[in-house]
Amino acid sequence: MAECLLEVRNVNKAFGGVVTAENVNMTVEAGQIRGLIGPNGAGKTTLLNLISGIYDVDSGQIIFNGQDVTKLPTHKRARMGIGRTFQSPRFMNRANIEDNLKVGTDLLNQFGYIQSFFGKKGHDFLADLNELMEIAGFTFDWEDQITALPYGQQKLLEIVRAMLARPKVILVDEPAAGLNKQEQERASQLLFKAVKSGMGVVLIEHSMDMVMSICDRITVLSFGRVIAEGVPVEIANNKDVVEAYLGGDDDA
Amino acid sequence: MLMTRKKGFTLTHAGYIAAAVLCVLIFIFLPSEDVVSRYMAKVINEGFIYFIAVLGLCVMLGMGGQVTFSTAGMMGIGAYGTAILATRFGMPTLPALLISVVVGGIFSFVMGLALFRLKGSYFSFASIGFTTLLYTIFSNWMEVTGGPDGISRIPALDLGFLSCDNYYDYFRVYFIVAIICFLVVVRMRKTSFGRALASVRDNEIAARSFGINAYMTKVFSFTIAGVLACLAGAMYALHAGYISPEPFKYDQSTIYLIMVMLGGVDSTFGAFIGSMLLTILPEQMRFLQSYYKLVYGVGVIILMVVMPMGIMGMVHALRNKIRMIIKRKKTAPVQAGTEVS
Repeated sequence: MAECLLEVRNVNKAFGGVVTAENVNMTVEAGQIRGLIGPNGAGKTTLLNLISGIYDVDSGQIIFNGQDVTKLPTHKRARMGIGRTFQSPRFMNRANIEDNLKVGTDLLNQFGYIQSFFGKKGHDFLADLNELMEIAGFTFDWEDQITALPYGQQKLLEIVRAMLARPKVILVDEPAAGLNKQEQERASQLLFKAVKSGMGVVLIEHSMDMVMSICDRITVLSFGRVIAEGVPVEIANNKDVVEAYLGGDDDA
Repeated sequence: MLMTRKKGFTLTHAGYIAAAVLCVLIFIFLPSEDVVSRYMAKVINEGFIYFIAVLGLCVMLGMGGQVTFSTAGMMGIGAYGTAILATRFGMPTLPALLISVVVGGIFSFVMGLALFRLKGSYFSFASIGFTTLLYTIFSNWMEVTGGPDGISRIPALDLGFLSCDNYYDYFRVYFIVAIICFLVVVRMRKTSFGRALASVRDNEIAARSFGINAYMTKVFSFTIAGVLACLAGAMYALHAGYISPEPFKYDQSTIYLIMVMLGGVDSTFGAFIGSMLLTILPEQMRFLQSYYKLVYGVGVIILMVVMPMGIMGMVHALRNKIRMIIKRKKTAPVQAGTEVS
């Protein structure tokens, strides 16, 4: 069995009376894509936010790379190797593409502001970038504003940016939403590339095509509870899941 | 198609060289009575001083997206620090200036740690309180600050090799200091700090999930702005030879904010344009007398509506549009087959 990179242990989280995570358990291994599905409001994004530390857990533990990170702030977890993307791309909208990508590589370099000021050269990410852009299937001009890119390319570029930081685990929130079929395929390829290079992936996605075809294991959430866990075939045939989420053999 | 980096001599490099040559020419020829009057030289010097303070806002507001009213207060610390050390303790002006800037920097770092417990507009309001507090100290602590009378007979700046006897000497020195500060801020934009600050501005959560300590990044930006404002304040005190609490009142900070907005928050050079315009224009518009405030107020509203990103923001937008048009023309005939490789 591959090394377990990320473990969510008995995590609870409630906002006022709304329970968004109730005794949630989940593991992600190196080289594994963990699908996270469930109806709207099931607590999928909340779980990602708990893992990356944007929200604090009420109780339970987040173990990352053998270390308890439950109490660590977001930026420390990111520096340890938890990367992520967002439902709608979160770039610096007033900056050009180069600066936006460099935010990713700054995370990889991790040297101080003063060293950076005096021209310390970081890791050259051009080779990494070229390899990833080959998969993403488009090119861009460094100087262009990030907002000049079409939405689909922005979403792909956000995955690329997260991967440039070479995280150990990458949390991907609905990469396929708003993408056409071809771009969805590119997104899948990028995630394959990530697991091939040894990362673990947590994937939230509503496109069942994508989830069923690329995930190694799937966790299904409903109202903050894990209602099923298993390989894609098991999930597709699980009665509870079908009832709560899939709604027959419909593929949405 | 592989991504590569641009190499060799570009139009941008030519621009840098032209700017450097222009600066040298200004340095040599402008400070003389034949070119600008003594009075105008004084006004321009004040423009440089405000520019240095406004550079701090360029970092705070432009790069970091934090609205602060602390500029005037921090300038006061630099000004009073220098004035007190130079008059009451008889310290030479240069060490007095340096010490007050260092002390001001430490002070603004500590204040930053406290103020950035608050976010967004709460921080802004707290910074008004901060400046008002300093103003109260300046105008009431008679024994040290001289109260409303201020401190007079501040000695002129003496660098050892150059003692600034007139406004033209000051021009040469302040011009160089302004250029150094300008280059530091320009450089800062392209460092991991600049990017961290920009990403905190545009999306704090995303910034944090890229390993950026948002809180400390904001505190650093406040410290840098504080240092620049202290420096500007110290330069102000030495240049004017007299200080009173009035220029360090919080409402003066709004003028600095307008300067940076007018020039364009995203542009370091915009800060220069904004501070020079708002220093020189009021002198040229004295004939308006009391109507000046009216013109000023309406002007600010029009500025915000017509060009929210300021003068340089408009220039950049125009440049980007032209770039896109040129690019489209270049790629249009072959686009169909090459999009997907």
